[in-house]
Amino acid sequence: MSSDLVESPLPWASEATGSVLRGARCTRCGAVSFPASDDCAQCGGESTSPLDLPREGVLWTWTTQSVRPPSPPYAGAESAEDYVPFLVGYVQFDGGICVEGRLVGVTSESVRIGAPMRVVSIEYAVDTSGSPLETYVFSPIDGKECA
Amino acid sequence: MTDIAIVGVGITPFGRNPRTVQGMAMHAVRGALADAGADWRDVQFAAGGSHSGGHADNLLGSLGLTGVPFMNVFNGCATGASALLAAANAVRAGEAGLAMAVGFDRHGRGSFAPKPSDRGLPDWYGDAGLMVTTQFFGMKIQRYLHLYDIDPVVLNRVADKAFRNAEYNPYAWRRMPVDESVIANSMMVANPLTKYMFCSPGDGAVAVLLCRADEAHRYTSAPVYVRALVHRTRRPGSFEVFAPSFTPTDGVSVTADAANAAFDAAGAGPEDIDLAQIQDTDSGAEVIHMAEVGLCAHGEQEKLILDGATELTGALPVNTDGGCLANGEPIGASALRQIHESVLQLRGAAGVRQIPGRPRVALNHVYGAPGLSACTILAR
Repeated sequence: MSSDLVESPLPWASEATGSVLRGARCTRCGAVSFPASDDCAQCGGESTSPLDLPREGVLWTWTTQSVRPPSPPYAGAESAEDYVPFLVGYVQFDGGICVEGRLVGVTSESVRIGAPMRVVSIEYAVDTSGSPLETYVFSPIDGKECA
Repeated sequence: MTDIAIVGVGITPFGRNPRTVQGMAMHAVRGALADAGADWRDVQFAAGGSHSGGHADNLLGSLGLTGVPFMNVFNGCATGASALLAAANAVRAGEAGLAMAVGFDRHGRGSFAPKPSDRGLPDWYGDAGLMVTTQFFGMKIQRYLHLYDIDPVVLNRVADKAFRNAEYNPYAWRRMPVDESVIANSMMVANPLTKYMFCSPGDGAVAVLLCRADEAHRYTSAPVYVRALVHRTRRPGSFEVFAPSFTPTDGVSVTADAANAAFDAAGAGPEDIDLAQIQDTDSGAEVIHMAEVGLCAHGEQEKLILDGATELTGALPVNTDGGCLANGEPIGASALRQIHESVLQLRGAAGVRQIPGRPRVALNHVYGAPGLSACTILAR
């Protein structure tokens, strides 16, 4: 593990060059979960061990969130007028697991299923107390063509 | 196994109904009782549910406190189908002669906004704006159109068909045909799905009465038989709403699981189906579910839909009453709305929207969060 990683209380860790998603693997059947689960949805196993997901994957699908999501649960404090639409998608990693997250650096016109994506973290909004809200997101890898 | 017959159905107008929630449900129940020529005191078991409209057994205060066993059901989009299953099982078990299933709901405007903790999900998932049902439906059809190279124009056509069918359904919400170009150019909600391609949360109530098939003649001259009534929950690998992650597995679908089991139970196959009511939360869901329930191969939908096969006059009419797209989605009522419509079609009593050819067998399918499906096969 890199010493530059800044641990989040949330299931990811960040450093200047990217972020890593913290998952888990079932000690019995090997199924991978994200966020890490104590139990295995695949086989019902009761034991899992921590597993960091690969930092790069490919876009499996995507869509748009064109209006401010219902709040709660959405935590961003911006008004419907100030809301900035975002793209959301699933990125598939080696081993097959698809993880859902916001997309950055792509538009409805430029986004492509199969495009290589990496995990990074952003501040996506501030909450009602003005504190920044952080999440992992997926960003296209420049110069890499679609798989 | 004991054969079950549906002998009475009742419905209240969907959309924005001026009645109270309880009043809507009562309207549907009294309609079903009148349809069967039965009295509330004849009902020996009842099951019912509502997502946002309170406990179903509150109805007893208006129907009459007969002491009837009443099971409250809370099972998302399958609520009505689960109530139907409970009622059918009570009859099969010999615990009731006449049994009732009722589903009703009332929802405000806008998409549903569930709490992450209610779904076993972490707060950060909802905080970040990921807990939105429309995203799932957009992402599922986006992938599907890409994978099977389907022209997105089918999404316009599915919505267009729903509003055209609903024009002839006096209980539907949106009964004005909408031009396909208006559908295509309305607000993009979750690419590739526009506003008119999504159903809206709304009001509605439906009630259904069942009994043993060999007693059906006591209530009706046109019984509709329940050939299969199957519920399934998701297996690993199926793509479901509100999933921070999953590992896709080809061919794994809770809808396919429920449909396959229903066909097995009915001793029938997709080729026997004359009409289908399919969960159409959005246009894409109807397209995908057509194949997942087995009515066509993946990718065949484009030709079927554009050639008119799923129209009222087509070889395989789908969502003949306008579906969720034109009736809205009162969660507790939707599954029984499908049953109501299929019963009318099988009786030949669907009026202007009656499909031709004296249909014999109807498939009914619901799907909902967090990954459950119910399939009901009805036959006359």
